[in-house]
Amino acid sequence: FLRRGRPAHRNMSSELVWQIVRNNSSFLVKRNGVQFTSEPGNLTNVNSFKYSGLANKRTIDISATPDNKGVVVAIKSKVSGAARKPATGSNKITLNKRAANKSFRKVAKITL
Amino acid sequence: MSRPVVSVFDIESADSVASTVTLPAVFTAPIRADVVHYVHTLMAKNKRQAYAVSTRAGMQTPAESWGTGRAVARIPRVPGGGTSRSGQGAFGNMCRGGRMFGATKIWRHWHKKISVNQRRYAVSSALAASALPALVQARGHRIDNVPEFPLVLSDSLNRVAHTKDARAVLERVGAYDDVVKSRDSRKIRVGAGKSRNRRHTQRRGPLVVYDVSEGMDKAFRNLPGVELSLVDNLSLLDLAPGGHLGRFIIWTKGAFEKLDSIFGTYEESAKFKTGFNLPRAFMTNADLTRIINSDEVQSVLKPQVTGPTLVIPKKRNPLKNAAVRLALNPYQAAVVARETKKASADKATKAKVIAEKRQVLKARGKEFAGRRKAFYKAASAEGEIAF
Repeated sequence: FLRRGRPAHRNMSSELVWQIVRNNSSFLVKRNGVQFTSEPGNLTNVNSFKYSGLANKRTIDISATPDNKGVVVAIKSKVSGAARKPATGSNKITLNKRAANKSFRKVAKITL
Repeated sequence: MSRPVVSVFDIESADSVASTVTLPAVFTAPIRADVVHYVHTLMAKNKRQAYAVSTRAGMQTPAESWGTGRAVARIPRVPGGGTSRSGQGAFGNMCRGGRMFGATKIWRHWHKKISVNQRRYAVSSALAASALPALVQARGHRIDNVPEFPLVLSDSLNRVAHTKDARAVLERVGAYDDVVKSRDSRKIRVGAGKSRNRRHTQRRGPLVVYDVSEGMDKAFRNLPGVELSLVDNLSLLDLAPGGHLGRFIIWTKGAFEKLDSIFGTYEESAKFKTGFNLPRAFMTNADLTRIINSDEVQSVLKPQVTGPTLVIPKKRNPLKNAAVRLALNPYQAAVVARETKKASADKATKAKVIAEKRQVLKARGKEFAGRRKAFYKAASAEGEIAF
């Protein structure tokens, strides 16, 4: 009964996490009748399940490098245990002007 | 259900895994934000101290109303004379020096009872939530560099005796960012609490849970935001501060291993909580996507209906679009043909007329040019023209 591919950690389903986090999170911003989230992994900052960086298992986060000269693309890993390991659970690729071609190829390889 | 295995990290370096422990069953308890919120609001009231105004405040006068007929309001007034107080209104909440409306009483119901099982349910939920990095991150902890959730450190953590060693351990294990967040958030409290011995506020950092301390409680207690707790008395107020799930918890191996006996598993009751069994979820598998895409469900679904879909074509204006006009009015072809023919015929005749006109003009021009030349010649033959 639903044995194949069941998450070992029952509580990690994205729907469950979304139900908890949708109205209650440090990233949620509600002002002037609009709401946004600033969570990493949310590409549009819209607070919805589809775009959620917290709930979804596969997310892409784009942020600036510390020296502000490039961009770091972090993609959450597909490996089953990776969700419990924030430090190593995402593949980070730095894109900057010089290494542009190589970086794009790397990103394409991992996202597709 | 086989429970996953959690790495126990060596405190010397986060890269080396000292050993592994099976995940205690509490961490698979259902996460019930509603239960936690409810229990937390009640629990948070249990440390309150009574406050009230004096029972006699504002009532310590023999004031009596002067009644009607004296051109003053009927509020009780202070009797006597010789002082500015005499004749002033008394007793009422609206009067200066009167007692307040609804004077606060010490017998207000300050503390709230919560059933033991509900309390334990909430704690189980809070612990389960602390194992999900998404929830811990949502609560606001800085956990990007933490190697694994739940974070378990080897028992040598119990022997850490100096704060600087404690700090070094946290840094190695990726937990120090949260301490920094807490330290940097220290501000003077907004409101009157600042002058009531509650001067500062700051965020809560990691909670370190241990079973035996050999000096580590003293080492960790001075780090900003870090709190300590014995496994045996985990409090919801620490596990879900503010009623919000997902406190960042750092376990020692001994504490982590003790959880199964404290809370029990789904196979056996708790040893240290009599009569307590872990709460069971309504859904054994809450992953909707997996359920929908599973063989069991997909095999029973009816095939997807793809009927003739109604395609509404884009409207095109027949007044402007020749093809549409033609489709609506087939006679248009004949009209157009006639008009183009006429236009070209017109054109031909027009061209002819213009060509003839041009010839006439050309001839005339030649004639006049000839006349001009002749006149000039004749004139110049007679001699210089003088006026």
